[in-house]
Amino acid sequence: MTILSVQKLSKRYGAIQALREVAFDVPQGSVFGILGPNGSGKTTLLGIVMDVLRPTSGSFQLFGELPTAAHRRRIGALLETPNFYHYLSAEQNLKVAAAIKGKGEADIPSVLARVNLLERKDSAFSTFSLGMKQRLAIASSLLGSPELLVLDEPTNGLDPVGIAEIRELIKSLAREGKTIIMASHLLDEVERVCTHMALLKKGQLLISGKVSDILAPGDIVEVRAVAGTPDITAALEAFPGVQKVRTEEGLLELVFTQRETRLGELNEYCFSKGIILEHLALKRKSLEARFIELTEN
Amino acid sequence: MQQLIRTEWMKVRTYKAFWIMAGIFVVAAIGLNYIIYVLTNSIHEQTGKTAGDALLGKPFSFPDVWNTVSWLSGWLLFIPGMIIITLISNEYTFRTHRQNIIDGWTRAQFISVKLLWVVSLSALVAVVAFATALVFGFIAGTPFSGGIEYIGYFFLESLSYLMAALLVGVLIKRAGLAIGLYFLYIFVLKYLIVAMVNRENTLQIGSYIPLNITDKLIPFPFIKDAVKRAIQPPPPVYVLLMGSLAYLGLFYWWMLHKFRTDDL
Repeated sequence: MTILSVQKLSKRYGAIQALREVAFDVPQGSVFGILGPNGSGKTTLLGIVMDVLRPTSGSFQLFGELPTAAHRRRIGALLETPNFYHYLSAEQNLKVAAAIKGKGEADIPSVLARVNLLERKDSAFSTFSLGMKQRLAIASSLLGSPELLVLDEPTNGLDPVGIAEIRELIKSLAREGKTIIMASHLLDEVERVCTHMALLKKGQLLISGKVSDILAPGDIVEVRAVAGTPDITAALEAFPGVQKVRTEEGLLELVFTQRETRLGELNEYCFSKGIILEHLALKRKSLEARFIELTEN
Repeated sequence: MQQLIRTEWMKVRTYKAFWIMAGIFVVAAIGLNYIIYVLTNSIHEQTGKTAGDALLGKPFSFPDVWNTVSWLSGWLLFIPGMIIITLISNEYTFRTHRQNIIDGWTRAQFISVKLLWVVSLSALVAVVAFATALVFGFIAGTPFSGGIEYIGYFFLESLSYLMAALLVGVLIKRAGLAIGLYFLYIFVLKYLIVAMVNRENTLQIGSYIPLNITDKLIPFPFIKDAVKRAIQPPPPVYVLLMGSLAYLGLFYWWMLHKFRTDDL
């Protein structure tokens, strides 16, 4: 089942086209990353889904139906910044959120515990650090155990331990069968946490699908045989694990399906085939390089 | 509906500024009426009873006390107006107007529940005015008698002032600027417009501008006879009532339309 289906969604702010006919589907049970640099339209997209922004054109469906407030009550969402009443305590703020969602207050201690804020439940929101505010927002999104979580930059403002905790939390929620839509500008985060992704740039959808398909996880190895060697492409393609061989600036690039390629074994293999290499280098393509490649014009 | 009210109450229950401003209104309403009561008594004492009655009337005796207390308390409606502006602009400042929608309220529900504040605060200030009038009427040593419709007019006047405050809050969003503009209108612009428009206009169109039309429901309570002779009679009550209700409807439609169609 498709939890969220976005159809040709566009949003214009005056002269700025924030979203341009974006369309994709979020399958049930997936951890769906919306990836893109700052200003690519991620928050705008989620803002439209959560009804705080009006689309210029296009439509979307939630849980297979036209979206209503009742659908939003089945979603736990953190959008852009943690929004709470500054003078209320953490617990009082969650009571307000629970009441709006139409959920009971029984969950409040457990969600506060899940983000390590139980001890500060009586402190006013205004006394919280940025990281604590972010964690309270995540706690609020967990109220009532919603089927779908929409998290916009959920690790914003967190320290490294906090980041690791939230990523682990997201993974554990996914294991519980929840669908999670997560916007991030961190490719590494999407790669670590998400099963599916959509890549946005300047409001346009560049690609969407399974993370494993989009971010090929394998090594890339550069080789060059000594001058006068006949074509070695076929021989290299036969090496175990090689997905394809391509020519790149006078070098041959071997694209592997996985990492941990043993260069020694490759060299030995070539030598056994009568190929003498004068250049052999592991060029593990960084995720950032892939990201830049994808977002380049 | 019960859930909406309960949620809204949770937001405000522990908000100190709300209680302080509400307390100030109650104290100011009683205090202002007391000051004027003492003042009129002293004029009566100085001029002698007959001359005093002829000059001032008996503003704190039944039935005039309803008119007097309603009129005087009307000057203090800027206080609940400030409460309303603070409550709505807090939502914008904390961006909870977005979060409430994200969490599952409709945009219309968000505005409607603020409308409930307008109605309940108006009911409360009307109760304060009613109790104050009752107390001063009995202190003045007169038997209870009618004129209680002025409390109803005062309720409508309060509804109009608070609805205008809510509208300004929704349109301006920032507390300081919204309160500034609100005060500018109710204390300066309203009188300026009335004076300028009515000066060369026999139809007295200026009387029908927002908030002024409801002010007209409660006439100036002192030296009534002299006032009657000096100024043009106000439009009939039914016209004032219909005009006031029309403004209430217009204000509500405007803010609902804005909140429903805007990006939050």
